[in-house]
Amino acid sequence: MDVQFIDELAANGRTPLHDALPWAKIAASAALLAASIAARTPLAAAAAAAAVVMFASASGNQLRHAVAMALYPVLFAGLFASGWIRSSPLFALTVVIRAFSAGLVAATLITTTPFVDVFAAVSRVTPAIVSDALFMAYRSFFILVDQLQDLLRTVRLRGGAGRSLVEQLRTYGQVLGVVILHSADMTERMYRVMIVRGYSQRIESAREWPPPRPLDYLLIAYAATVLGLVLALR
Amino acid sequence: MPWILAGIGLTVLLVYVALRALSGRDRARVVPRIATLSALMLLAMGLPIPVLGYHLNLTVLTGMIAGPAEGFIAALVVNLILALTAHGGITVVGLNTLVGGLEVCLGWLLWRSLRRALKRPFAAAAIATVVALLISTTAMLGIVVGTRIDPDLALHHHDHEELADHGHAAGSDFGSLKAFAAIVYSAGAVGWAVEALVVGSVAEFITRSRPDMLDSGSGRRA
Repeated sequence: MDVQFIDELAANGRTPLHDALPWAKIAASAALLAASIAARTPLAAAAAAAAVVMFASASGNQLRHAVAMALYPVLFAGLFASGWIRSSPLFALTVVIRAFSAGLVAATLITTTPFVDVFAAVSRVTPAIVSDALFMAYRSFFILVDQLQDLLRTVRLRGGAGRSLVEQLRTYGQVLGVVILHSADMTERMYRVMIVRGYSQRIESAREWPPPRPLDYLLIAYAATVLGLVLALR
Repeated sequence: MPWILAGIGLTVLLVYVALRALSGRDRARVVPRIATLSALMLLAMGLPIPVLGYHLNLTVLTGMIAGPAEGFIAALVVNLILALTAHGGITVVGLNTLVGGLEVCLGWLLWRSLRRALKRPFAAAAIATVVALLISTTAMLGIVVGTRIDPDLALHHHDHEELADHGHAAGSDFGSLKAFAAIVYSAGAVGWAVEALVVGSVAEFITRSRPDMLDSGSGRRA
């Protein structure tokens, strides 16, 4: 999973979807997700998927990255659906299409909206410990991934992780062990920083969003229409 | 749909229980610990393991280090991030968290028991990992069986003709399920072995370097 790449797409992209307000994108994504889930026949699921692809195509060149990400849940849905191919092929097909739509909605949202904005929305419905941990986990990931890459580079420079698979896995285990030790030190530093900054049971989001524009209303109207049509088809 | 809602409901309940268990602790310590453990789980998923494209998940190790309360919340955080990056179903965050949380709790429980019984931390951690993953995989299969029976999720809101077709196909459904279970267990067994080897190595390394980190009663965890 390349969280760094996703972060870069979200932060540096310049497309109409990047310009839309986060809450409008989240609302539209929620409606499209509901439409994908509500679809009960392959036809309805395909219609919802087409609507989601149209929504995602507003992200321009990033669409291919979002589609690639959406294929990942399709793999697992395919495994799940394989059990129903013989007895209920239409159900199996619907499961796979729905997985693609849901994956593409999430991928489009996250590749066009900075994580901080998504977390700000998530933090409104989750307990403080969860939302704070979510935010800090995301930031910690980038620090630890650099350390892991440095360690793996060192291992490669010293002749690789080992010849046999067992040797390689044990080396990976030790590398992870080093990263875990570093993470323990990092946890201690984070604790001190939080104390110094006067952590008061919650990390507050100071983000202020500008007033909505026509594009934001258009996104929500589009998604609501798709959801309405899928519900009408049931 | 009822299974999705049940998964979310049960997850909310268990998060509440976990938060109650953590209420007496210093939140400025608890939050960074959950955050770094979640980040480590995400990190491990990106490790290039050269077997079947297997992803490590380190849930068992998280349970061993953090215990069930912090570990369960870390499992939720990881699943939320995975869902938001399209690497996990956004509708099944609840069910995935329950399976991950089960691994965390079993990891904690088995590690505590086996550490006393076995001399080598590698063996204790590896056995804890295999047993925890075997049980969680079986639980996951149970969910699959359950959602198949469920008429809402299994798309059985059709007309009577289709319902009759499904009735005739019940026998082959069972066969398909057996085939599905065979695929999951056989692929899973390779994954459990990989995970056990890595978690065992990590446990051995940490036990040598910072033994207090894997002593879940010490209160000085990562």
